[in-house]
Amino acid sequence: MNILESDWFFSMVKNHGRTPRMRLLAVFTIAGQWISAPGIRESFRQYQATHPAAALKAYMVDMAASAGARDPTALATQLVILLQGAIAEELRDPASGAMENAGKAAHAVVCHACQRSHESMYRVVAAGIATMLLATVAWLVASPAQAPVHPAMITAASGAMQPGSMVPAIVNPREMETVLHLQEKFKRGVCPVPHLLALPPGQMTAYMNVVQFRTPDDPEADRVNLHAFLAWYEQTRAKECYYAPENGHTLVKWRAS
Amino acid sequence: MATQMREYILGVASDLFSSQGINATSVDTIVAKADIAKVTLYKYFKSKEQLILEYLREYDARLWRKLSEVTARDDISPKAKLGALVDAMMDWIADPEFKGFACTNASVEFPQSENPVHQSSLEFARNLRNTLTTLAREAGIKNADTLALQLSLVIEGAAITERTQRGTGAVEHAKCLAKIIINSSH
Repeated sequence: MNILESDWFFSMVKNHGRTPRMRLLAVFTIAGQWISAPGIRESFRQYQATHPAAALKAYMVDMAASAGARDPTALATQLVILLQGAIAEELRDPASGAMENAGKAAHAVVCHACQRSHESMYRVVAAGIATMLLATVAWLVASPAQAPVHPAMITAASGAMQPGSMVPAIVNPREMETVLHLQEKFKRGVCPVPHLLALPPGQMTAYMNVVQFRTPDDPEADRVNLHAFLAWYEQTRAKECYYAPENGHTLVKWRAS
Repeated sequence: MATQMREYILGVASDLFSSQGINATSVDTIVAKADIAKVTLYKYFKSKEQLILEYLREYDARLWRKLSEVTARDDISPKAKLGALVDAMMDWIADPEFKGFACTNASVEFPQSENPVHQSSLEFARNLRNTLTTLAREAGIKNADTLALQLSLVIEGAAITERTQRGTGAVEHAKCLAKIIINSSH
């Protein structure tokens, strides 16, 4: 089996990153997770010995082009070189941290290759967020009671307007969205549910505040705790998520009782 | 005369080791190729293992001679030296005769860590890594260890890619790659 060219691998990569740029880097994350699994290590050895990585490279060229790289083939070739080197070193010395550092290097390389388009994208996104925040604040001033936003954001926005608090203590809307998506996945049985009671108390509170649409007492602490929770989940449990194939072949539909 | 014979046997054995692998080359093959008596071989080398160790030592010495041309330069900054060192390795890989680094291949063929061949095969990589770390530190890079590791990954990856996909310009891409990594480290 060509471990890094299986559909399984590609769909893991796809699920791991939302944007092409994140997917390019996800190749390193997932290869790193797999290579530390005892049963899979052997396949990597065979892969390295025999395979020219053509399909993986083609996939990376695609992703690099979508990510706006100036020279997609060059970027893909460079990333494959880095990956091959990291696999060899990981096989020789599992404790070397080769894949992790290759991922860091890949980040720098991707940034370098997509610099110009990245900057313009950043400006667009930043402008978008600023507009949204302004709109929210304006709306709050006009009709605070009807604001259809999450309480955590309301607190944050009104906090920003208080005199003296120059830095808005805001729960990151993107992370909030991630938590809500995650909750949806728990309900559908796609991802393993963490034992909320075993979490650090602050993280449990932050999590419950989001899913129950409660206003946090301390948005700053919630922001930190939510970030920590998501990082922890991503690292330890997210890989156990099962995503049904998109073609629906083995999808089991449960009838609502 | 004696040293000439010794060099000659080592040369024949080295060619065979690098072209068809160390384990796949028996003493009989070496003797046949060199057209000498087996006794003659054992007069100069007490075992195949000794032959392998000498082969690795000689290969490493040749590579180091090339690299020390770069490290001995004092007309360029440590940062430029890092790049030049990687470039020198890349030129070595770009040689059409290149069949993988002898030490890397040997460590794959002799995976048992207590084996003398395995231990000797790790030496080159360790020295190279140390040299890279020292240069990175001289260049004022804080995470010198990380950069040295990343650069050695680039070198190894380029060697593998160049061997499995000749003519895709892996070496040139790898040179670029190394420069980007060096410049983005601090």
